Amino acid sequence: MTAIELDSLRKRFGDVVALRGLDLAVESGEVFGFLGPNGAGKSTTIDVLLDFLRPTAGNASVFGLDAQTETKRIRRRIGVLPDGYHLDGHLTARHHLEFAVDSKGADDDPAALLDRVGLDGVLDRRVGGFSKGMAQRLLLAMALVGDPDLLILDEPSTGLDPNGARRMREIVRTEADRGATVFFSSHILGQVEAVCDRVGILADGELVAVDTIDGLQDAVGSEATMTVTLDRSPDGALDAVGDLDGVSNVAADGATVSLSCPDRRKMDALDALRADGATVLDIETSDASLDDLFAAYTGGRE
Amino acid sequence: MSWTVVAERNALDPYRSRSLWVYLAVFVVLFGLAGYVVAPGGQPLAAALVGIVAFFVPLVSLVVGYQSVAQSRQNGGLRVVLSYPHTRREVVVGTAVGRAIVMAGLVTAGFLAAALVAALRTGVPELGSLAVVWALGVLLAVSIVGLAVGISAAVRTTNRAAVLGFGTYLLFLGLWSQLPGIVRYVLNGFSPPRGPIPEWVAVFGQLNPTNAFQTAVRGLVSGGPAPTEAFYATAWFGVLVLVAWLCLPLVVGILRFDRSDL
Repeated sequence: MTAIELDSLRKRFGDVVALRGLDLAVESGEVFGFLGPNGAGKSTTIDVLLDFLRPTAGNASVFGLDAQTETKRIRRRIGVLPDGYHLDGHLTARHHLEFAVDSKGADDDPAALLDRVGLDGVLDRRVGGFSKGMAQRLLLAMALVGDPDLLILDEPSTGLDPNGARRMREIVRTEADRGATVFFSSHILGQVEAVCDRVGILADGELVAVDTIDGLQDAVGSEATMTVTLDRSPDGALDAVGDLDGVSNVAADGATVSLSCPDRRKMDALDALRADGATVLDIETSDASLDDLFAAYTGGRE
Repeated sequence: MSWTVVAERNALDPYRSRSLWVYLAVFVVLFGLAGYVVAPGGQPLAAALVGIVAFFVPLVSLVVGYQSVAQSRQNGGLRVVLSYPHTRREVVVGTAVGRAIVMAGLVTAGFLAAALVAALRTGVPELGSLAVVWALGVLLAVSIVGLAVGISAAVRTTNRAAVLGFGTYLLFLGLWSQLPGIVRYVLNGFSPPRGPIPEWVAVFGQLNPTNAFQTAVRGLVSGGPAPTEAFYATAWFGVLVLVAWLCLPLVVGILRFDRSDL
């Protein structure tokens, strides 16, 4: 069963093209991270799924239901933390939660919901005095009402402190274990890599990659940075290392050499450094971070 | 019945925001004052209230309704409401119903206050006519709520809703009766028209909701001679006009709201 399906989805605002023909299928039960820099089109995509925006061309569907014509049936099955929301300040947390419960015809207990998101004790406080993070937690609690089959979370970690962000990830995992599909957007990779089965990277209205985190790491060629400490200055060996296929960014600081190379080239590089009799005292390597990868996919397009 | 959830939220909103008490105080004081000044043996209380209702009720209905949809569209409140199983249409209808309930309650409170004050000062007023004016007052209030919510759903910002809403009020208050004259002036080649006033001018006058309200009251209560026997001077035409003002702007608002990006 496909939870979300986008088919050549296009959206244009005047002469600004926001989405350039997105194709995407998110399977039921999956935790899918929707990544991209600000302005890439993440919220536009989500707004089309929620029928806040109408596509210029193409289709969006949720559980096989058309996002633009079967909105009510879709909204019965989803929980949403929308972007750019506003909560009426004169209403209490209880009023907001009761609205969610009544709208869904559910029977969740507002106090228990607040407990889940770590907001216990503010049930009858007006949300006008809430911080951004508290509002975000309340909205997450509202999204959980009625055990939705699909959670759509637009930048859910915005304004959350580290505890709140951790709790958000725990809730995403719990909901996924229950069998729910989770689709959430973020411009920060670190927030999604811990919980996502797959990620899609959106840049300038186009999906530039859809893969698992491991798959993305492989795709980047597992370029590593290696720092080698020798017992003496490498001198002439530096040129030899720099000439090796795949080795780049060679730099020396006294007896310490740093360089970038693919995994399979590491031993060749070490051999070259030891060629004139130097002894290797220490080696440090660091894998290419996903942030580097993210930047590689999206950087040139900003 | 999903619109009932939205209607309930809208109906309770003035109470939850505490603005209800301000509205209530204004209605009770104003209508109570009318009950106070009615002299024994003079005009009946119902007749004294007609003017207040015609002038004041549409204004409050507009205030209660003009921001309803446009504001939550502008600030993002609508994104929360529409994340739940409500269609856009249900949101507009629920909003209109909820705010109409508020206005019906306020008008009712005003009439109760007026009747109570009058009863204490000059004895129990004539209740039959009072009930008819009350019912027509509620209809006027509800119909302008429909107009205001319709406008609010049709535009993107509260500013536009305010300009359109209060522009409409000014139109009803004074400009309406000038319009036919202007049209006739233009049709006559930009010179003052001569001859008898055509019938459509009178019909047009009756399309103004405050006129329609007064026509309906005159037909159903005073029993006095109508200025003409024509269909547009009957009470039922007045009621029909008010129902039209309730429905048509709301339909236009819903159609526009339904089609646009939020």
